[in-house]
Amino acid sequence: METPSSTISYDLNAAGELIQGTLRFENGRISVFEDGTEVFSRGIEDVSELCQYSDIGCGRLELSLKDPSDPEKALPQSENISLCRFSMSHTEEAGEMCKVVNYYLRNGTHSVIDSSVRLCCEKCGRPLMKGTDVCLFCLDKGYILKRSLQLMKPFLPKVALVAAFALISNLLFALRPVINARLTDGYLSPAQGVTPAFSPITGVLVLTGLMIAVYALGQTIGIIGQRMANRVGSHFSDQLRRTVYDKIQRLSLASMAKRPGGDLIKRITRDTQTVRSFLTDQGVYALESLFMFTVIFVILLFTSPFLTLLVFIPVPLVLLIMSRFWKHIRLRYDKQWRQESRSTSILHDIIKGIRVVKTFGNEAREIKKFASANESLAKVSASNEKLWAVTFPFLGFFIGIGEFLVLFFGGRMVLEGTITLGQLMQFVLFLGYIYTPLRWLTSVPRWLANFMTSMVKILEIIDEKPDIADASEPVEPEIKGGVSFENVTFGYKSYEPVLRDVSLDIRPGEMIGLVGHSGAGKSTMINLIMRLYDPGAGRVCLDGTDLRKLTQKHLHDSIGVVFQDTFLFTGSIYDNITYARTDATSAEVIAAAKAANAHEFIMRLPDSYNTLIGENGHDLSGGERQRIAIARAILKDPKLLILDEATSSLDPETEIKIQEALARLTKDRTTIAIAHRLSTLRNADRLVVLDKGRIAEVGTHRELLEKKGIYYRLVMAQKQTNKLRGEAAKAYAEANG
Amino acid sequence: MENSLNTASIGLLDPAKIEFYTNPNGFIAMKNGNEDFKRVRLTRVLPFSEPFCYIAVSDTEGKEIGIIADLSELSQAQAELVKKELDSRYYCPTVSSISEIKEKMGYFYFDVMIGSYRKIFAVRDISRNIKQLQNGAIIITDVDGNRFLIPDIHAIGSKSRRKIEPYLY
Repeated sequence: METPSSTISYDLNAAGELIQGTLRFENGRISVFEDGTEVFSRGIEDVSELCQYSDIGCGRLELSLKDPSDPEKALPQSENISLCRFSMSHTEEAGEMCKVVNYYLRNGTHSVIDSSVRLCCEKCGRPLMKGTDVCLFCLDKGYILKRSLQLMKPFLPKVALVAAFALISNLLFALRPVINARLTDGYLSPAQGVTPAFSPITGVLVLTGLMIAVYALGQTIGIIGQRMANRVGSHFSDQLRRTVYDKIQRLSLASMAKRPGGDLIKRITRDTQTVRSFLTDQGVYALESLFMFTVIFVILLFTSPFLTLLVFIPVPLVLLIMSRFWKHIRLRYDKQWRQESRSTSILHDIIKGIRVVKTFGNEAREIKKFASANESLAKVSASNEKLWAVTFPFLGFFIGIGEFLVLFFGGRMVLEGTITLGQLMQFVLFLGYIYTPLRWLTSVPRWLANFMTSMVKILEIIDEKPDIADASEPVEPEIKGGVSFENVTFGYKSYEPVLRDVSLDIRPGEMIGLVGHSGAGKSTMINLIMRLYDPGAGRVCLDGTDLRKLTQKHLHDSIGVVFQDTFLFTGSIYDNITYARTDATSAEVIAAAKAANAHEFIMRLPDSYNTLIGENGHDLSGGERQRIAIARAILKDPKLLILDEATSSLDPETEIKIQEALARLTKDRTTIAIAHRLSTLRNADRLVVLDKGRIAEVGTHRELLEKKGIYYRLVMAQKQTNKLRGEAAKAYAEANG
Repeated sequence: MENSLNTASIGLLDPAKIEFYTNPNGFIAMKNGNEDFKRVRLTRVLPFSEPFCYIAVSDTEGKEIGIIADLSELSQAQAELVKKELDSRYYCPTVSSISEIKEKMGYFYFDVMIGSYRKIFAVRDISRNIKQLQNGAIIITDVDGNRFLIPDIHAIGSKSRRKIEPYLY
């Protein structure tokens, strides 16, 4: 039978130099190899735990040893044995090795390293980025265009129709030089061998009339096509914006946190517009140009192969120069995009924090900061525009050199009688049709650069796999409100656990108070219950069902949350309360507001429940916002209620009102509450004390006080603080008479 | 107006009273007067602006023992020991040249040399992850959280400089 073993790689030696190291765990023995040579090996009989520590930009693995006098305990960290150092690229692997070894230490059996931790591209071996299974390096070059067409698929028939209209319109315009040639050679300056079909006056009249008719028809079809193009463009743009917005809504909090707000807004507004403009306007133009180019090229070739050659002499050189410019220009526009994004983010930040800016009197500093970002943006934009302004006419002129060659050599050919004057005029007029798309071709890199930059940003959002997704066959059982944590380990960074091996059973209808120092893991437990994140190990269950098996909608429908800081959307108070349940009746909304002790203050507002709040509306105090949030939760009637510091930072009178409202709200439903003010949790059925990510104590207020552990110390510290506050307030009152 | 803040309260360690040493298991330890901390952790208070001043010393529980105001106040041997430990705590390899920066779907792949070692890493959201410090140095943070240092943009050669310049503000 094969001996189970686990191996991970690491990349730093003790001196911080890059090496190729491996760490192997096999048969209860850990071995370390540096560049193929074994540098350490020992059994783990006396090991308490394999520990991973994070430094800055790197991490390390150490063996913590058992205390010989009490094997249940570990020796101090100073007695640890250092195993290896690694850069941040290996932290997740190291975390997996810790799980394997520590599982072995607890259970005596060998588990397997999670192979999904690090997936590499089969083709090039480069690591795949989290959330995507395509190697960005080995990506097909036409991928972006393919994805763009996929997004456009529903609109393609209409786009084809628009293109057809544009083509017909252009073909009609292209008939004009042909008619012109007939007019010149047949009637104005009759060429040898040409027999006119009409008398000179009739011929001129007929051909001029034909020219007007062709022009009018071409214009009419062109206008219809343009109107259709605008409509298709608007619909496509609308669809794209919705797709991006929809995806942003579905991204996990962790994904959202990675991007600044200004960046996300720009992706929905500007980038979608750029993509639309390219695909519907420039794309259609490119198609019709290509078609016209081909048709006219054939006509020119039949008229005079020599003159056609002259027209195209400068083209290859221009295309070569353009391809060289391509990379350079793209980088420049990318930089401009980032500068714009930065400028928007700064603006967003300053306006959001305007109160702080004003309080500290830092307006001048902020103006300078924004001005500096804007100046950088202006510099980049100006430099890009300058480059463009210089390059574009130069390239255009270079292409147009062919026109002068045609006039010179064509004129000579007319004088020699090789071609007729009408043919030369037709040739020169057709040049306009050839040069317009060719000149446009020189601006393609600019459009393409903008399009590619925006499209990549959009695809980055659309193609991102959500961290938190519904199972393939999710369930929606009836929720009673029982919550359980089963050996849950979780960290916002997988290698820095915030919760460690947490197990807790909460019965339906029970009220649980989560207590602990800041950073102990209280909010993290709540985040896991709401499934804003998934645990790294273990599972969180609702009535025995793993949260990952429930649909997120069903889960969130069953949970009501009151946060410390309540966000109210721009709209009426009524709209904000019904945000929890849009189908609620007016009577239900009033009942919820009354139960939340909010009705009274709402009725004092000028338009009662229809009072507008938020931006450009009425401003509510913290306590009032809190009561709106409670009304929302009451209206939702959830089986599971989460109160995250719902009553902190409130004056005593408001707090009493909110406590009353909360008492009504928590009745007969599972409640999990976090409060720094421990007195507010006194009535909880059980208090769970968290310490450094582990459950340290569980019991009622009285039981925990008697235990004289962490909870007792927290209560005593708070009493002391309150006493000091009371004394300070008294002294202040006395000093001020 | 003179600021009334008392800077003495930041808990500076007396260089004459402290002594760093390496414990039998190879970890840095410190004696402070009569107290012997058998393993300590060193953290830079201002890692970018003053990397060798204001070094916080804490115990294994993370409780701060005090702050060394300036490493130059320690003896050379002591300062060397502290610097060695800081080098081990802070891993930020120095980029000696940049061969290529390629963008793929919003990720920027840097192909660089770290001494004689070739390293390819990917950076996401480049405006956030390339930070230019006041002293002109550049810190690049990759998708895994590794940090790479370019101490002086003028020292990496014009070819490398041209590669990174479009990404700087």
